[in-house]
Amino acid sequence: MYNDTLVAILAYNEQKKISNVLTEVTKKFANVLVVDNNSEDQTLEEANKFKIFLVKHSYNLGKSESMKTALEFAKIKNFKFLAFMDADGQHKISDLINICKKIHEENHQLIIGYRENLKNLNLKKRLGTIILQKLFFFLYQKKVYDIQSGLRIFDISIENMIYWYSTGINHYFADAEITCNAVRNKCKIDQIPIETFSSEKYKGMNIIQGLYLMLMILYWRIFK
Amino acid sequence: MIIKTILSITAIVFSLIMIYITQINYKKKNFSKLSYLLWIVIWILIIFVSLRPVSIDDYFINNYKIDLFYILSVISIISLLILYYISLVKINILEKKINKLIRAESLKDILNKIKDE
Repeated sequence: MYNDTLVAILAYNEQKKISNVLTEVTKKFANVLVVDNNSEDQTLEEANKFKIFLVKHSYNLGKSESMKTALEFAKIKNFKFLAFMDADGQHKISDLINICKKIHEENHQLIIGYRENLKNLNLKKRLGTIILQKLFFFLYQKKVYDIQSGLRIFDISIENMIYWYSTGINHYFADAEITCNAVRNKCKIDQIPIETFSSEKYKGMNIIQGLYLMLMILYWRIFK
Repeated sequence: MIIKTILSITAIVFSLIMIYITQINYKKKNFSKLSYLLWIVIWILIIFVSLRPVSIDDYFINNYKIDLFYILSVISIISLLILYYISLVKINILEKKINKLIRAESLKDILNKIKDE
């Protein structure tokens, strides 16, 4: 299914969940890339059991750099579309299929899966998502329901319009930066609702990072 | 007066330790000769500023209406900011280089693997 699409799964210490994720994804997609960010557990060994492309960073470079690795690989292998999903089982395979279907059938350049039902998120994440949504609308005058969603697909030909520079302590901001760049450069964006699963409390950004992200969104709007 | 004395002693002891550490770094070739001499001058200046007699301050205030210590403080803060800025830029450049290297290395591995298959 969709031989022109590479599904990139960014993994760090997900030995418990990566097998389930890969079992589902490899049933539907021929081209799957796992970027292992120097996991300290058996993530790499678990992923190696599947017939997939597997890249291992010798140091943990963070999410943003892993996404760049996936993009470079997709370009080298001449894929047309690049989809990202999380390795922790948060995203359903049916949602991944839906975003792939949508980008193939309709003339979009970026599809973002947005978490429609926020009740499965903890309070901090729920509030954060809503605040970011409002701030984004205020700055960009475009309603994007989930600028930080990890489930997305884009046409690789728009790489220069959406390229992201978040790195280091900002590595978690890559998704938001892609969204901001895409809107600023008037890319054809669409959003589809996806299911959310209960996320672990320690995962995701803390309040300080959330505030920092808000500042970065403002910075990208003004200075980019 | 006591606080001033304690601060001066702290500054002198700190500068002497830093002169020693600078020497070690120079021997380990972490500094060029110019950097080494520059830092030695800076630490000696700090000792001088801490040890300066009160008469020097009085001389400048009476004759030139300049608070010497205030001026030295401002110059020190600006110098620190410049040094911090230079360090930040260098770190960012290094970070980019390291990220690029690691990504290239990991991609090289997988592409070689695919080629062999």
